[in-house]
Amino acid sequence: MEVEATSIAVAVAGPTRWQRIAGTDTVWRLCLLLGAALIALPVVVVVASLWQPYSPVWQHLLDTVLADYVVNSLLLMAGVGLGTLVLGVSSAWLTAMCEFPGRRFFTWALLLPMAMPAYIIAYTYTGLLDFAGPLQTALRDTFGWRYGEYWFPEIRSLGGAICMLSLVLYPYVYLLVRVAFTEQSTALLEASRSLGRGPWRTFFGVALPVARPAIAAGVSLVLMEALADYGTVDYFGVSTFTTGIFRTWYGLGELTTAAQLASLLLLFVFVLFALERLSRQRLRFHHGTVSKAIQRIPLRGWRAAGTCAWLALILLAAFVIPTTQLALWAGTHWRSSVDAGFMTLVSNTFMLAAIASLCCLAVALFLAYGKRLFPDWLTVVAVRTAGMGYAVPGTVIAVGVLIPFAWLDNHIDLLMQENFGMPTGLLLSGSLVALLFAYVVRFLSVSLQTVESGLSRIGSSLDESARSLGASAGGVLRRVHLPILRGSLLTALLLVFVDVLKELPATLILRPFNFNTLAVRAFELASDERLAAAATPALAIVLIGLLPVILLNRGMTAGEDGHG
Amino acid sequence: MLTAFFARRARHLLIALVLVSLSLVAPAFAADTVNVYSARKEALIKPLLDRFSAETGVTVNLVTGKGDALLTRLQAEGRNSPADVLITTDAGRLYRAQEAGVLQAVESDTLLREVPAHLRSPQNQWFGLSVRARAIVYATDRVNASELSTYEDLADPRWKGRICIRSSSNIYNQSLVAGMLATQGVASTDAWLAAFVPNFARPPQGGDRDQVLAVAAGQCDIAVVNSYYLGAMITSGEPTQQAAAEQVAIFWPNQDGRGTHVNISGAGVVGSSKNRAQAIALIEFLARDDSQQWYAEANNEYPVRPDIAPSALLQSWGEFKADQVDASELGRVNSAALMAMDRARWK
Amino acid sequence: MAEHLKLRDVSVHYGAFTAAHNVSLSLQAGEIGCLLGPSGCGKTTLLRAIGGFEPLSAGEISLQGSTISGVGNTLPPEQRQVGMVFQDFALFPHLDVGRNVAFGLSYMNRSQRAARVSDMLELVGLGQSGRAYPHELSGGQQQRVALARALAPKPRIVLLDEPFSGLDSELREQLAGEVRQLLQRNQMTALLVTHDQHEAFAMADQITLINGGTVVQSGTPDDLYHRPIDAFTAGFIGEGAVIAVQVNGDGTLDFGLGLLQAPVAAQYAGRSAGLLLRPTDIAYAAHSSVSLPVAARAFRGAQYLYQLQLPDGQLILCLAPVSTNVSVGGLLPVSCHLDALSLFEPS
Repeated sequence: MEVEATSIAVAVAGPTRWQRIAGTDTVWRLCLLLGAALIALPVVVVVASLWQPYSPVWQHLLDTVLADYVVNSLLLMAGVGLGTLVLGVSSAWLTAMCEFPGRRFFTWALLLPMAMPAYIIAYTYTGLLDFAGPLQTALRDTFGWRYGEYWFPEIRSLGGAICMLSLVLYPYVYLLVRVAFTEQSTALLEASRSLGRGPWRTFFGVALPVARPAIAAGVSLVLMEALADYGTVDYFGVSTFTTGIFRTWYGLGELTTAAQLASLLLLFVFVLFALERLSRQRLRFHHGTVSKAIQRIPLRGWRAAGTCAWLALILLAAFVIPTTQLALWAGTHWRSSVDAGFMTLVSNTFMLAAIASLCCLAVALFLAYGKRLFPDWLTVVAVRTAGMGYAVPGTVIAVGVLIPFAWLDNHIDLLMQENFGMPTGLLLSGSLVALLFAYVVRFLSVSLQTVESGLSRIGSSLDESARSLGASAGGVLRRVHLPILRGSLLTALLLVFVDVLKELPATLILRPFNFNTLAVRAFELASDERLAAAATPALAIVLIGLLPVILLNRGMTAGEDGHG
Repeated sequence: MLTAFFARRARHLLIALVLVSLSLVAPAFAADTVNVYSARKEALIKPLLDRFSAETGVTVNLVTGKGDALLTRLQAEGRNSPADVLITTDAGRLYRAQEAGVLQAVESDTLLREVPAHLRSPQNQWFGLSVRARAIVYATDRVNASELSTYEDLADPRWKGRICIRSSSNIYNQSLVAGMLATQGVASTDAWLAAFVPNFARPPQGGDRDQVLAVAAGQCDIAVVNSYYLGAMITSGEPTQQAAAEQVAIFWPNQDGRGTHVNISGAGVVGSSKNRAQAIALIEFLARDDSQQWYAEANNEYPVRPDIAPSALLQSWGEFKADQVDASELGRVNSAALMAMDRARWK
Repeated sequence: MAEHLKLRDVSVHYGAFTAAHNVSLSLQAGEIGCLLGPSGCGKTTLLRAIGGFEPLSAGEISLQGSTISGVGNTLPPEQRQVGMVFQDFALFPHLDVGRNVAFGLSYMNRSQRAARVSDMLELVGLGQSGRAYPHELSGGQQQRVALARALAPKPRIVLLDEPFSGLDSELREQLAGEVRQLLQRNQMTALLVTHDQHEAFAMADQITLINGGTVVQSGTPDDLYHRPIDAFTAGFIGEGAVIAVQVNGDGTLDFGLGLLQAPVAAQYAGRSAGLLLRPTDIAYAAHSSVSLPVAARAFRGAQYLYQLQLPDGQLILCLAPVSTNVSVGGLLPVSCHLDALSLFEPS
């Protein structure tokens, strides 16, 4: 078929046009590979450590702590994966496919926890549920118990870390899967019902498997974020691969060994995702272009009450309780925190997040679309590698950015000095450009996954029909895909925005002089164990995060409620 | 439409951004400035830097971050690094910076005079600026001060399930064990760790304040914490923290022997510094009487200069004998200490 | 024989919008029925109501004598044993063909299920395609899989929603014939929804014409074609023209093709009415005294379909041998042979 189509194109268009098309394609591919290589550079710098000599520290790690790191990281992944799956898919299904009082409210409110940095929610829950916290103290005072005489779940444990991360990360799954549900053909669900399967079996047998690309995208984002998390697990005293990387670097002073550990983490993630993709290689999930207004299943009585209670519980645990705790803390301290400098923090944070999310989106569109055009193995691997930054702890990415940028700067400086007697010093290192680049490397995966999962739901017949109508590759993107993808693009933009709002480690290392963000301020205070003082900037992060969530809500619900 | 709009905007924004960031880098090269990479938190250093600027007219640019990250940044930036002064919050990082060759020796009579020899680098590449002690905090209703004596004694079985201490990832714990390694060697340190770790009341977790809270709440009877965290709790103005701090007392261990383990925060001049004179002036300023007072009090630490009195709160805890082990020696054995802790399964 | 499927006064509302109003129809066992009508007429709504996807606002649906839908009483779709073939086939993209067909067979054990799947695939001529995924099949093959899947659980009735609309016209007629044979061979009762009369004629024993949510006319294809009860039916089914005529006082009528002598239209005596003229009603007659000007013509292989203009300007259709070959503007001699006279109230 392919060959036939090509020869027809040649016959119709004639050789000159064909050569021109071939020429554009080559340029496209070249740009694509170069762009992907550039983004992948920091990751490559990290992975290159595997070819450096292995320090004797390795033997020590193998003998003592490595097994712990691996086991805890795997458990963390499994737990957070399952937790976000349950929270994200159930909330997505209920708000997308069912009608009940409060649905519209929950649709956007369920996104709110996204703006909560994981280590902040960990602090708030520790404050509440810790042995010395108000809840356990009240229990002891009421019942006269003492330490060891009663059982209470230990918040600072692996289980606690899984809960905390699940609560703030489930919105990724919710967001992506919800879009998939709303775009799913209702005929599939009806077909299943008419074949004798009840609502539950239809959900598990059809709706869930068909939404698999979106679920995979959401959960892989979550898993990468969970693997890269440092703040929460470190505070809870859970030794994971990532805390291990930092112990090796900070404690043992072995940056190379730390980078080698990070590379192993990356390889693991790479293989995991490759396996997932391989397992659905033959499947196609897009389903024609038939789109109807969603007919939601009306829920009444105890079903509606149960649904509301479940969603309210999620919201309460993931947002209301921690935010209230933050607000209470901030209430005692905000006067000393909110000064002229604070507004600079707010505007710095906002600007960075806005620009970074636009950059990420542009790059993600370029790569995802390029991969769709040229799905050969080289392109696929290049794009995949470019998207790996998300699984790497931000600090490690920052080092991967620092080293090549400084190398480049120093060589330009040398060149300019030798040839023109004009030293340039460091141009990019220590500038916002380096920081933004690091954000793109780190968060590209978020926008890439979102854009790709959107693209996967557009049948290739649309591409072909647009190309046959004379649209260029870029034209198809601009005139066909972008309008269809608008929801996905908005999602990608806002996910990165919120991620950058919370981003800490890369900002900490790469930022220019006298430049702070809310996350940096919150971290400095929190790491000094001044949680109450840290609450004001943390609350500001959450509040700024509300903005995109509200925007996202508009984008999400526009056009899906007008059914007749 | 949407992307066309975004693309146009994004290009403008990017251009603006490059200009802005260049203008942000630019001050680093202006004549009368000094650029500081500080692992000490902004709130604990910025007011002093501002005072320095006001007095001398020298602009101070500041980046804060974690010690090792700043060190890596310095190394990557190499000879063109804009940094002039590196400030860290423990001896280990200063030692590493010196080993990495990113610091330079400073001939300053003021600093040699004011900073005691064991609290600065033998090669004069860095100078301690404040001292923090790792003390024992105990629940006054369950533990009698007479039961406490030394760090070594905490390995005794009678403390089983009674000790709270944070993770071995924490630099101050590493430094504590490093101090033991430096004075008593590997074998006895390993033996001590093997008996000490099983005495923990719970898996290591949280920060130093959390250990104090746990002692107050009855989860454990004693905790090993940095003195300044207890000070911070007392002065925090938060009822729960103050109440917890009131239920415990501080104990200075090893007073009959090597002394209580101390660590330092300190500073050095970066090797590639282009503002060497200003950099030295800044460190000298930080060692001055009034600066020392503020620098120490801001974080409930002890001044590095023996002639400056600590805050009233710290004085109320009584004087103590500090371990005189060389700070650079602590840095040298830091990784060996962590490996020993790994072997003892101290998480 | 008892009625297999019966709809009694069924109404369906979406909010204030009435999608179907007071619809009654019935099907005998083994009969193939068809809901025919223009798009948006409510026929798909009725089908979905039978499938259990739309609640009724009035009336009742019963299958094999038991009620499956009443007001406020809708048996869930999965308990109806009603097979459905969807317009876009709705094949599960994550399952291969075999597992698509097996989807409704979970009540069987593994070997029964495998046997049934292979039987069904053989039946629709796709015995080799069990491991293929839906997107790897052609449209016609997908359609057959959808049918096999619907038939596999031996449903009490099969509902087909525009089952051929996604296919090209050649395939459509061929498949329609095949599907009818297949259904009849298996003695399946089926109800088809379509807007295409040819599909309806090729498939159905009974056609119910729907417009604006209500039943216009029910009957065999022959009834509907030859005895339409109103101008809508006449216009919707088959080719033809409804022209305005004046009926004489004695019941005869005269419309420019000569006088019809028989007093065929007593009830319209002395009034105006609409008269249906099929293209076959107007014949080419070489020696006729009446010749009409050709307004347009369409080549139909062996014949031309002429559009002729009556003296009063109204247009009628005439099917004449290709040998006549009169071009637009020329005159065609014709005569009128009405088998059955269809007169309606004037529109």
